[in-house]
Amino acid sequence: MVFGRAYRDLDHPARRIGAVLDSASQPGRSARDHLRVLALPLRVGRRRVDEVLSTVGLDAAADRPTGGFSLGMRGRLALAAALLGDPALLILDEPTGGLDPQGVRWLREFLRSWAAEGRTALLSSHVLAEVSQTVDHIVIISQGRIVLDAPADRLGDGHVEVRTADAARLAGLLTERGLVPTGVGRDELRLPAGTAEQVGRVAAQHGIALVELHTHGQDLEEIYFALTHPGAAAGPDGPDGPPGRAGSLQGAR
Amino acid sequence: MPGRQAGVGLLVRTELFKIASSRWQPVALTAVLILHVPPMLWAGQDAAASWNGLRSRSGLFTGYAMMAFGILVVAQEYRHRTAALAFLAVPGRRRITIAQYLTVAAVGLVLSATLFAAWLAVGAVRHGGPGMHLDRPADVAAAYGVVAVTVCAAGAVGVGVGTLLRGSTGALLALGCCGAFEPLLDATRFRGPVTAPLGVLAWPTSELETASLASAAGWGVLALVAGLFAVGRDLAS
Repeated sequence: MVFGRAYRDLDHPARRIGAVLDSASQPGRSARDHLRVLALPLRVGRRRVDEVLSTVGLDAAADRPTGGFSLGMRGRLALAAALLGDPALLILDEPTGGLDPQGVRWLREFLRSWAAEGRTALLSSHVLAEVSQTVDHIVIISQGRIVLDAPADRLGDGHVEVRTADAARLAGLLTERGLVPTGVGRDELRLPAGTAEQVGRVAAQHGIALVELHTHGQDLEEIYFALTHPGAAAGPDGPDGPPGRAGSLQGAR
Repeated sequence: MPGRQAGVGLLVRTELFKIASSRWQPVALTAVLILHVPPMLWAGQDAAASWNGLRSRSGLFTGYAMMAFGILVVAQEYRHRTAALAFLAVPGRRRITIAQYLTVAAVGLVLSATLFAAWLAVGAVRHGGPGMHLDRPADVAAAYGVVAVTVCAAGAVGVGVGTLLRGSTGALLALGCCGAFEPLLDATRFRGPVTAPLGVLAWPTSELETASLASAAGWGVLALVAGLFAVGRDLAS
């Protein structure tokens, strides 16, 4: 049920709900023609096709066959397709998959501007750090039941603290990868919870010595595991945990 | 937002645009026409043979080409996972299948009508209008009617089987196996989904194998109905 009715009963459902479920396209067809194919049943004109291509930054590649697109470009094309009908609700399933750091940051900024227009985006993802940085409201589903439904800012004040003599350089490197520090001091950084591993990797790759790297408070990952795998810590099983139990996390802006 | 979901007419336009914007489909369809040019130029037969070969020359290759085309039109949507995008825009999936069939049938009718007219013109130039029954328009219309029905039925078999199996390899293999086994038994020879068009069109134009024509039409309807039921199955994730 969406907007109080079954999806199939909605008038022009793709003009009310834009879904980014899969970055599918015919490889021999250009991006523009791919969108025109999807625009025709929506009775959406060529101008709107050009608008969404511009919105996702694909106008320069609009006439290239999509078979040559990178994963990031395919992701943008899938988003453009979802935007064709100018919907009020966007549903995105693992939207950051394949995106480069610039793409991740672009998507985050896009979703913020989307929400600022008073519209809703429902984001389904297992990249918890990304979710915690992007959404306003979090829903965790485990075994078909909603086990958490709460505003993101009520889920503890977890954050990652980093101490290093090279704080400014590390902040720049992290920002390039879409991890924007929430605080930068002379020799310390503060980042959203769930980003400790990525911070450690970036520092190691660039030879930056860390004096301290730790998570304060409860982060989203811990909340997720506590709710979906009670009694189990986040261990080598990874976020999917032991067989037979599975959780899904959704966020909304 | 006012307005209803797209109707079949709009979906046929969409399917036609898909064909036009595809890299290989316009080339393949043009090739179906061009491949007939050499035999048109070099075939030198008497008037009776030209008339009796009219249905087979204009419809046989086109019929099987439409069977394969119907499979590919449907199967490529599943292969490239664009079927999900189409179903999101038009949740009434049966309308999409009907539109796909109408598109394949329309393409088949245009190709077969073009070839029929071309073969008729070549025969008329070589043997005169009466030799090609131009003085009996009902004969000409009936001959093309049989071609049209058979080509549309073959297209329906392609779309139906493509929708059932959701893959071109499996569908072509299934029909290939049918085509290999149907001639082995009297009951299925020129009556099965693959050999029925052969039974209609390979016969002289002056004769009509009505059992094969009925079989071709019946298999087309059956495959399409099966496809309309099968299209509602969940998509593989």
